[in-house]
Amino acid sequence: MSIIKHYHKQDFLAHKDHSALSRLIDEQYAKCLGIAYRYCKSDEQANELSSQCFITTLKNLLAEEEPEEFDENTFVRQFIICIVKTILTQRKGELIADTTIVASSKRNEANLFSDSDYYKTLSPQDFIQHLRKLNTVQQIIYNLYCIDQFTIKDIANIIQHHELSIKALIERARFNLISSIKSIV
Amino acid sequence: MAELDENKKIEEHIRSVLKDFTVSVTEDQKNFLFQKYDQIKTHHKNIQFHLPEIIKNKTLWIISGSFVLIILLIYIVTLFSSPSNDDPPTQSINTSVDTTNNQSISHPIDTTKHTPSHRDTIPSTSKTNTISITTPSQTNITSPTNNNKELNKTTNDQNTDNSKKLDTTTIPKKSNTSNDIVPKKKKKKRTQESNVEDQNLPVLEPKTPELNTKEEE
Repeated sequence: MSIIKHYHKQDFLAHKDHSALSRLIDEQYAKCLGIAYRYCKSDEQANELSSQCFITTLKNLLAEEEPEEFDENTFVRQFIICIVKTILTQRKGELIADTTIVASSKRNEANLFSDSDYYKTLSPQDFIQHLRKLNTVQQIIYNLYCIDQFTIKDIANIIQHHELSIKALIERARFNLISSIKSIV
Repeated sequence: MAELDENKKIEEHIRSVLKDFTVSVTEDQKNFLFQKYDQIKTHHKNIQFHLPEIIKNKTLWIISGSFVLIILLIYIVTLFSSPSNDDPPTQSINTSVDTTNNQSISHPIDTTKHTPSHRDTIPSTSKTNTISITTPSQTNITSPTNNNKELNKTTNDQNTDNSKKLDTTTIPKKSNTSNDIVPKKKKKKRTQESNVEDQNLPVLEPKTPELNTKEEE
């Protein structure tokens, strides 16, 4: 069990002192960048949004109405919410209800049970590439529900959609992702 | 069922792989974050001095109110204390004004109406000339002591020109104006008055012979 790291607001607001920020960057930014890679469609977008949302999250947590102390889980959670909202605002014209299915799934259906541990050979970058094949909203919802373990209610609040539609989108994203992974094997 | 179990296994594997997925951070990215962080700090300081918060601050209102009250008190105190101290300066001003007034009144009269001064010495003798005497009669008030000298001089210079008569009139003026403060102005006035007198010479010429004849008589 790893000890949860805590950060104090006043350490960040100290005059001409970057030690708190350098500590936060060293401990959390690599993780935040990995999260951004999962949620974004490209590495460039991930690099851009991760720095932007990292600073925005820190700014929000340093606000007066926030408590004097925050932990790493709070920071990462706020970072994820920030990055999701940023992506959704950038892709406002895209339809949420996407019914597209990975086209190659049916072709490679015969090879699905050739090796029971075939997916274990895939690297994290390979999984990220499969995630990026999904629709933007499906990618976001799958990341939120299956990887970052947000509740359906929280996801509905973040995306501003009904919980039932969120459930349907989760099932569709699951099906599309696994079909995409199985198609390669 | 076997497919569903496999899907769950794949999903758990993806979660375990991607949950702690990290990307190495470069120095450029760190520097960029530091720059953005400095902007946040300055923004935070600006928020601290935001106007609505300043207005809401009660201590600031108390300090500013007390400052205004102190200024008002000082102003009121100076207002009520000033009348006792204002008397001496007003007097001094009045005196100075009086001196200037005396000078200004006395001299112009002397200069303008001195030419026919010897007429004033014989006002009662000739009742016919009362109209011409009434105007210069004020000169006697200012220079009564020099009237005899003037008379002597005028008698000696009866046959001289009018310009010489004007010169004689200027001499008693100097004696009378021994207490003058600003002589330059007098000179200017004299020049102006001399010009005026030159202009008025034709009017005076017929009157002087008459007076001289009376004195001779």
